[in-house]
Amino acid sequence: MIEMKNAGFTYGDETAESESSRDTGIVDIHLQIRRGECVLLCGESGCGKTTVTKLINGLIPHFEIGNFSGEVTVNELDTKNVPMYQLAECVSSVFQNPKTQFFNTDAESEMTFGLENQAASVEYIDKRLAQTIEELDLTPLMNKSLFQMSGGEKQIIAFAGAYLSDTDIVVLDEPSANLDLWAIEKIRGVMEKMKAAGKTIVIAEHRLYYLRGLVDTVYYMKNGRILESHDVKDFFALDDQRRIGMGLRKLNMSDLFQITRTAIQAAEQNRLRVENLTLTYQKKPVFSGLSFEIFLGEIVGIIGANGMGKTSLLRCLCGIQKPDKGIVRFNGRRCRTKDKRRLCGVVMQDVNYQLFSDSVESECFLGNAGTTAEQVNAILNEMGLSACKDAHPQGLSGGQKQRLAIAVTVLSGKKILLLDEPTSGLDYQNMLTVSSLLRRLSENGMIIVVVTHDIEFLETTCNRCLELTANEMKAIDSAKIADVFYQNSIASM
Amino acid sequence: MKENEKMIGKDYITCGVFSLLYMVAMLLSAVMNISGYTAIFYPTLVGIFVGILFVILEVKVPKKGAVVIFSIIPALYFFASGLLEGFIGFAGVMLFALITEWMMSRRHDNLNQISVAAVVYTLYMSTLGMAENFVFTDTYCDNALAHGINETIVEQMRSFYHIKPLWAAVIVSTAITTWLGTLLGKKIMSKHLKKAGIL
Amino acid sequence: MRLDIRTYLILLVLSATCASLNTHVLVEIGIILALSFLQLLSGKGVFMPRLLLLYGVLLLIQYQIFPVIPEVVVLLLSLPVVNIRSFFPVIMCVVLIYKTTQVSQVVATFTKMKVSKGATIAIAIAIRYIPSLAEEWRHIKEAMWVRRATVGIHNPIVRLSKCIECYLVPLLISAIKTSDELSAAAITRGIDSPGMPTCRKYRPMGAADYIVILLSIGVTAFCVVNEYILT
Repeated sequence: MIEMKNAGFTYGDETAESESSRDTGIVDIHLQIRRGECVLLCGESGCGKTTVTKLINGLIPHFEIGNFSGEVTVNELDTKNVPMYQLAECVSSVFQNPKTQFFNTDAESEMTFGLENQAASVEYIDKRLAQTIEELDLTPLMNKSLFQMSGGEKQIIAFAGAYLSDTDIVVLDEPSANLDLWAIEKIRGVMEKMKAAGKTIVIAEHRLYYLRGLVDTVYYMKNGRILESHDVKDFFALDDQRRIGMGLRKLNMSDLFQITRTAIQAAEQNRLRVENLTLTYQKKPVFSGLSFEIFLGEIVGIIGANGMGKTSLLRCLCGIQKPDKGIVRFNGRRCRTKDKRRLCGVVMQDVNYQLFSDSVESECFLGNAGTTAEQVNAILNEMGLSACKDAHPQGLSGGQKQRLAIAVTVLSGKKILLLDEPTSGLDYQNMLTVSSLLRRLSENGMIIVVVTHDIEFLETTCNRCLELTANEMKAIDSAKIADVFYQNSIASM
Repeated sequence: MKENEKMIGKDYITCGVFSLLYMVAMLLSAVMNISGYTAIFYPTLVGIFVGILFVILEVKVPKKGAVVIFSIIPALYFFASGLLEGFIGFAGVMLFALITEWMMSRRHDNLNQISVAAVVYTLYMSTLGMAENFVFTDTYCDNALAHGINETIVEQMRSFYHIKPLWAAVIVSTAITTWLGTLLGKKIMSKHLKKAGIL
Repeated sequence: MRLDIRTYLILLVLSATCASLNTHVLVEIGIILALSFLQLLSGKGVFMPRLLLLYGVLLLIQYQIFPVIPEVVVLLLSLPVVNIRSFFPVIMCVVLIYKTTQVSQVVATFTKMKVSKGATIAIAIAIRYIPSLAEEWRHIKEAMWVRRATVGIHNPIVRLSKCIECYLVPLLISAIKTSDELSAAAITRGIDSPGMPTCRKYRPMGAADYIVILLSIGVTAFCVVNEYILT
């Protein structure tokens, strides 16, 4: 079905000036995938798993600029000599970013796009569409414009498109990177159906627990090579020590969940106090009457079901959005919008929009007028960014960008740090780095609030966990967090 | 023509995105039309944006036909300004796009040549686009009056647009700002896009 | 009721023609009301009461307020108020088209009409990119607001250029990245296929289309006669 012989790829063309764009992607890949097999490629960021998926769907060598060697055959077609549109008839792909992979504005045409390009008959397309909608239970999504959908819903439509095209091979490149638990549960359902239909599935992924029971073979990659191949039983039975050594995320969701840090009580002055916060958006109530306190030196995780307004809550705290009602006090003093802006730093889910300068170093000085070079060097050291001091912020990896955004917030002397889904696309190592960094910052007297659905991250990082519901902030017993997560994902389905 | 010099799907997509940015730049610059005098700076302001976009687009898509596709949304916008004016506007933009394509047809990798082409390209705004104001001044002003614009303003505009050297000034200033735009575009490319490995 | 994209384009061009030709405000009000009616027929959420209200306000300013306020103010406001007012039919049309037309219909119709594939893709992408662009702009604006990037720079020119750089560069970077990712997704779904794709969303023109076209030609003809022959 899929066969790779001695395949290698180096990114960038020979004349490229910057070194970052001349990475070695992969070397010496030998791989054989049977028809109907479900293969998981895992490994740390930059290990080359995405590159392998591109070999299969033909983006290498047809789209990416670089140096390709070896031989890849898909369905007896040599990918080098076959044009993309012909490969598209037997391989469909789903990518990481749900925002940038749809061409149409309505879900229906988006799903049929592949078949339309193959000039399939209208009757056949209509038949497949009706089947897909029924089998994947998509009726509630079909009347929405793609632009009104959440990231998770968009990704489900992308999966539905692959399902509808009915290609023999499906390639998934970190499909869960930007998704919440509800959407992950849903795409897992689609993958099960694909597998039952006899499709060959290749997945490159950081999050592993949801793939249990789905994949047949696991390949572990490092530095552009396939290091180990595992039978699925052995792989999901790996003990924690071995797994952490390999830099992999949790294999089992239901592992006992335990917040390792203890709760803190602080003096009356050192706290952020929110009273009766109420927000309506486009005439619909988002949340009302939220009251809670967060102490200095504490990291608080906020969880909640889809669409509960977790991001809106952060936006209200930092002053981007004006709540309808409610008071925010810091150290007992009431904060107006101006004060919130001065006090709070935010690291948004898509950190790309928060970086403006042409080098990591100048990014640190931007907007932080009084900063000295020593301070910048110290913080870059702490964040593990001093090696790429002169690199362009937009050229950094996802984890590095996030740490840079945190560094900038620290330098600007802000007391409160708000993070929205900081670990959604990160591998284990990067997640740990962020976690230990945040812990150090909080020990130095910062208030940190994290909105997340990454249980593993909550567990290693937070002191306390709050659940956002429509009209209160529920404190959650640390032993019950996994249950709450599970119920939330059931409820939103 | 070699196979890799032909426009393919991804080039059309890039051109479509840039074409929309071009359109947005035009709409932003339309702020200039808020008074009859500053309207002459409309092409001047658009020139800066077009200069930036043009250089980056040509480096990203160094192929024949990129400028024509890049012009398509603004051309449609002109088309929506009425039957006669629309057709002239549409044809004018496309004509200049073709001239520019021809100028760059030999070398798509020469940045200076691209900059010159950009300057020629924005000429349509300062020549054709301003012709209504400067050549058919009286018709233009009568029409404005008939639509209900204050008479004092119309008469001021009439005498203003009869100063023909102004037109030359508009053309020259647009050329200059477009050139500046291309310089800015090159700066952004070397300072940001190339360094970040995006281009 | 959904009309064909071709009908909409004809409607757009003709209403622009009327807008520049017609100088009788009563005729203009008639056109605006007819377009509003068409918007109301076109489904929920297409008709924007606020837009119509804005038109009314502009009319009110021009005909009721201008005669009574000092001329200095009129000199300042006359051009924008009158220009936007007389451009309003086009604005109404654009709203109508943008709210009712899907990218897939544009692509299907243009493909059937043998418009070049490149132009079709570019137009489709441009329409699809409008909401993304708005979203990106909002993100950048918010990030800038939190960041206070220009604090501490006193020279106004340096400040302005820094500000422009901070808005423009992320926007350009994200435009390029988006177009790359879109391209990758599109070509893995066979957009470069040389054959004629299926045009599932193509609908031939119906009676409603012909009626709207005839009516709009009639109105345009009336405007021409009214301007050049009757007066």
